[in-house]
Amino acid sequence: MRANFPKLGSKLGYGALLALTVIYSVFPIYWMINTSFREPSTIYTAIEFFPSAFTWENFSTLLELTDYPTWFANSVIVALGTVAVTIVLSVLIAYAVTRLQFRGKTLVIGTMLYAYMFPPLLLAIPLATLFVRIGLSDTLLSLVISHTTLALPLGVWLLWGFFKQIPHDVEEAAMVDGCSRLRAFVLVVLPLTLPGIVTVAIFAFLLSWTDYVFALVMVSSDVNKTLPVGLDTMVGLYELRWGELMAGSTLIALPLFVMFTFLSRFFIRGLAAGAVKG
Amino acid sequence: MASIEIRNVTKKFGDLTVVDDVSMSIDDGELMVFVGPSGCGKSTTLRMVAGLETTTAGTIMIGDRDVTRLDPKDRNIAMVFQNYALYAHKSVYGNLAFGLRMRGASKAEIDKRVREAAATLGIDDLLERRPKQLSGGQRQRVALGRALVRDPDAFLLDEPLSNLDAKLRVRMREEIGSLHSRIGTSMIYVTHDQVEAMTLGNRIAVMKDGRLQQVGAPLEVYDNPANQFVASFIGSPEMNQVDARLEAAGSGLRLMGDGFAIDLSTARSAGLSAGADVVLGLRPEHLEVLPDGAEDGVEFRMRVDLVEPMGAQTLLLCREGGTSLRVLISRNDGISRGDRVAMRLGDGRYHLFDAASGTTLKSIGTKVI
Repeated sequence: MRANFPKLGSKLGYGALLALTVIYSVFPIYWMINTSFREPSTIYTAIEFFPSAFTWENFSTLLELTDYPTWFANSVIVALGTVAVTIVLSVLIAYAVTRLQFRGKTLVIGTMLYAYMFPPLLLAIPLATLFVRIGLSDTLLSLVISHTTLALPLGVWLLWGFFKQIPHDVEEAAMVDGCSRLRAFVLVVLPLTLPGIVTVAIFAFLLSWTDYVFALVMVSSDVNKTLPVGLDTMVGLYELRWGELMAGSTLIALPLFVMFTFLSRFFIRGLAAGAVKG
Repeated sequence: MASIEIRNVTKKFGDLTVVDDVSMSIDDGELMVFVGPSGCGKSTTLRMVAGLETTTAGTIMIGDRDVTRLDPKDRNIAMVFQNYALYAHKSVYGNLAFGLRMRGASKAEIDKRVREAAATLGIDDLLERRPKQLSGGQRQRVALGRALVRDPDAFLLDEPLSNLDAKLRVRMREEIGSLHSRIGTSMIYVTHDQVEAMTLGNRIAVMKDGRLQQVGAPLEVYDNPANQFVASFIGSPEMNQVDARLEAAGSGLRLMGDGFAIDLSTARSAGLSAGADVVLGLRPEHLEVLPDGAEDGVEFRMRVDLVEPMGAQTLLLCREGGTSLRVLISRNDGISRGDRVAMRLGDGRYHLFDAASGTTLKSIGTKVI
């Protein structure tokens, strides 16, 4: 009986730690959703863990008073553009690095992740200067390019791990079976890399969807603002209207929730594979 | 079905020559085994036949078509890879059907041929499974099925059994042998296992350092190896090789070595001349242990250093002076470590190699009457 005490104690300890971690991670999200559905008048007067009166008012005000639909559309365009360009480039680069023999190959892969050593602002300023010179400043394309610059290194690195894992024999078997090299790549290699591709897509989407720094530096006109920067303008204009702000944040988070619900299986598999194959 | 001809084929990777001027022809319906140690160029030669490697020089013909510059898909060959190379994202059915789909076969035709191949290989109940749900032997069957279903001009098999355990390997070897007899398509089979080569091949091609050492029927290569390398590579346990010198002795010749002297009759020494440094090759199974007290015909007297009972046979390691010999005899429980045994060349079988070049000077691999 006495021997069971430490076991029970450690179980309770683990449980408490787990509960704390979950609360720490989930509570801000819960508070955001909770606030977005509360009566605007009650937000400043009472602390309510459950809305006393459930209302869509914050959402309707947000859509009435701001360019939310435009920001949303801009965010979708930039994020999907970033995902598309990142996937195409990282698949091609990672495949070339895996299959071709050239001097300094390991160095190329090794230095890929150095891109993440620098704070985003440090990269954003020279990039913005560059875009001004080539006439791309204040465009959604400039954001797509900036976000791709950030997402690509990890994408290449992750997919490199996947391609390394696929034996050459499988591709060669497809070629003997009647495929050209390109067809073997499309029909055999790509499907086997699907968890990796989905992981890269989620990562690129997440990076682009939540980016604030690049959007702030690259885009100045209201019509080209994305969601994070657009919402930020509300803080200045309406003096912290928490209800609308939380409603906007909830809407920003919604696509991410949906995406993770359906694709988290791939994401975890992809990250795990990338982690051990590096 | 078609014959395969490899003419003066060379493959270089930079300055490194991995296949050096190899020529041979594989008859229509023949099973040719490429055998040799790792890095001998056997797999590279096979891959050149498949079109997965380009040739640096030479020509490859399949039937009457020069396929040297053709892509793998245009050669109408099928290949089985060492690690199966199954498509992990497809079912067994999808794996078998893939090659036919790529060639534009109709759905009905694909279904008929996939089911026929699956039935031939006994995998018809596995068609809906994914490769990761199969055992090693089942995966190997699927890999064979993928080749079989296409009815190609030739089958190329690159060490297909090396990932299987010993027992399964023997079973699959028998299955491949009987499959070849049934379908009668030309096959090239690559292995580093000489037992596999001997048991499967209609002929075997022994390679070393990118060069073809000998091509012949398994027993012909075993009985009359072209050189010291082939002699040591083919046969298990490995052939004993001991330094010796040929000296004149009366009308015949005598082989003198460290701890032994063997008189060679005129019949056994025809074509040899005295004064040459040679290497004497003796297969362990060709040495005969004489009964205790035997005096006539004794060619070796040695001390037994090790006795390895193998069931039906006993392997002895015998030493005398600087010479040591492995001797394979029928089970003999009466011999133990430290015993002295008298031996002679069983049925007069021996091989002599030039000490400098390693080429065969004389091979008496079968019984001398």
